[in-house]
Amino acid sequence: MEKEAPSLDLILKGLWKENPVFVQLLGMCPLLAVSNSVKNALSMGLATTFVLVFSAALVSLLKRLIPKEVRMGCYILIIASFVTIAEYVMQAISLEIHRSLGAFTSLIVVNCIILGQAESFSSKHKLLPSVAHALGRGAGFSLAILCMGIIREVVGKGSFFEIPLFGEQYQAWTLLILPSGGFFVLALLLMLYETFSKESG
Amino acid sequence: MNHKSLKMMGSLTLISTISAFLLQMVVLYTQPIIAKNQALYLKQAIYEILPNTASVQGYRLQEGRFIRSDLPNPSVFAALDAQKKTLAFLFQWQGQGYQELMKILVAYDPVSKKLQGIKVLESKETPGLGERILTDQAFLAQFQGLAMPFNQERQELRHPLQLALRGKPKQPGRIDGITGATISSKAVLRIVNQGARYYFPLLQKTGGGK
Amino acid sequence: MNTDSLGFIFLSSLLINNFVLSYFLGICPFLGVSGKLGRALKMGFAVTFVMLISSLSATLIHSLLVWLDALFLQLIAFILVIASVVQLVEMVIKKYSRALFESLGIFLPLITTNCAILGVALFQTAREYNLLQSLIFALGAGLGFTLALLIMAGLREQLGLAKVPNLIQGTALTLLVAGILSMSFMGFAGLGG
Repeated sequence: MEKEAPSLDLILKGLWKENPVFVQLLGMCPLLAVSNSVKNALSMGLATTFVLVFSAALVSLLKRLIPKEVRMGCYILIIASFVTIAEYVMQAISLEIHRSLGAFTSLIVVNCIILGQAESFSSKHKLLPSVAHALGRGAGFSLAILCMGIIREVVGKGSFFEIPLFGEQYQAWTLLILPSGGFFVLALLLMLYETFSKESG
Repeated sequence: MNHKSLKMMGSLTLISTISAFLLQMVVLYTQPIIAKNQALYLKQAIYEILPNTASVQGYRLQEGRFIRSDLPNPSVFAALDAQKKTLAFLFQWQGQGYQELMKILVAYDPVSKKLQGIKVLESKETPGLGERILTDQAFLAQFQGLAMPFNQERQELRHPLQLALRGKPKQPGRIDGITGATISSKAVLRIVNQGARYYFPLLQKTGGGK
Repeated sequence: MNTDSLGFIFLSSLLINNFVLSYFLGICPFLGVSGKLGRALKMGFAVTFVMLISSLSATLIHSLLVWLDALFLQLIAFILVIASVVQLVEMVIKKYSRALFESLGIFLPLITTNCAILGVALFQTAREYNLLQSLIFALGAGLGFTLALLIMAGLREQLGLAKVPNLIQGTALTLLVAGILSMSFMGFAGLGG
């Protein structure tokens, strides 16, 4: 086995340098669909990170027991269980959040970031590094979806966390909250990321 | 059976057991909380439509009639005032809104054949535009006391709800939509009509739910 | 219960609430589609086919789980059964029709983890569609996906010839085009009542 990188490095890498969204273009579907308000974005980021970390931990603990032939099935089974758990916990905390995310909570199952984590990292590494790696990727995803949520809510609705920011006369740019706005804001963020990461080398 | 497939089945069983155990624990713990939250939310919605409500009685469909039922998740609610007089029956109906599913709670009095009000329980309409169907009081107030008779012979609503036409005298069943939220307003009317076609004849047959 | 008419459900999932452009399901193949129209068409039909299978299995699973009072297993059952059924169909096609396999089958394993497939199952359950409504919904969603894919592939062909600044090239450009497409699909809202 290769030499394990220190855990903090793994987290930071997932957050910026190897950000799953900006660099690898994974997890696009929830990123675009539920980033129309800061609250939704935050809930989605947290739920995804929860599933990512726990499924990574379990996969890495069970890696010796999972035969190669059925590994995909096993990963999906583990991930789907944690998604269901996340769904129930979310419903118990707040029905309103669960409603506003709708079917997209269940759709965390097919988020490629999670399956990718299980397949290419957790199945080959020990518990601690894979949890750290998963945490980093979860944070990276949350960062991206939060950026989207903040831009879309502040510009598109003139509020932050449902608190009005600009007063009555602000003419909200509603387009950004509509589906097409998701595409535009993501395109903008990708361009910004490109520019910044080029400058920093 | 060879060694390999045994191992495969063994590990699949193990993983399923672990998942089942975790799931079971979480579900057992959270389900009562979720059920309580849901019941509370529905009750609040009922009080919001009919502020005079003192208590709520659940009803369930049996052989084409509604009978009283204290089981969880009844199909229809009756809102009773302090003198135990039935104010209205309430049912939920859902359909396609502008973008996503929309769920509406409808209050109907089968004796006077009048709507008593509606409340949108779930929707994902566009914030700032379609979302106004949740908050626009002028729009929602039109449903209070709106006559909505059901023609038993033809099995159809006598005046299905429709958006009012601008500049024309108001006819029965016409509702003024919200500017900038026409499609969401239309969706509300469509869903209320669909629910009415199903529930009104049943409620009228139950005749005030005695 | 849901009494939306079949025509309305079909129109709505095909155009008004296009899976790709308004629910963002199946974005990966959409963004990754090459400028080849033929390939996009085949891919679209494969997705439609799998969606129909998924919709049918989801209806059965849902009624079974309601009967067993075990709805918390729904998500797990959906994803596992859909994945297995698709694999089974792939094997059957491979065995009986080489030609069909070559044009359709190669896409099947890719499609299984596509979120649009699970999306069909989840949406039809949340909306309480019956079997027929579900199948029409899946058909509309699949054809809507095909339509979006075809438009994108056609645009890609043209974009290859256009001169654009370096910064926008690649995914950002595709996203901008998708945003404009999504805007134009908003015009369908209100069709069919």
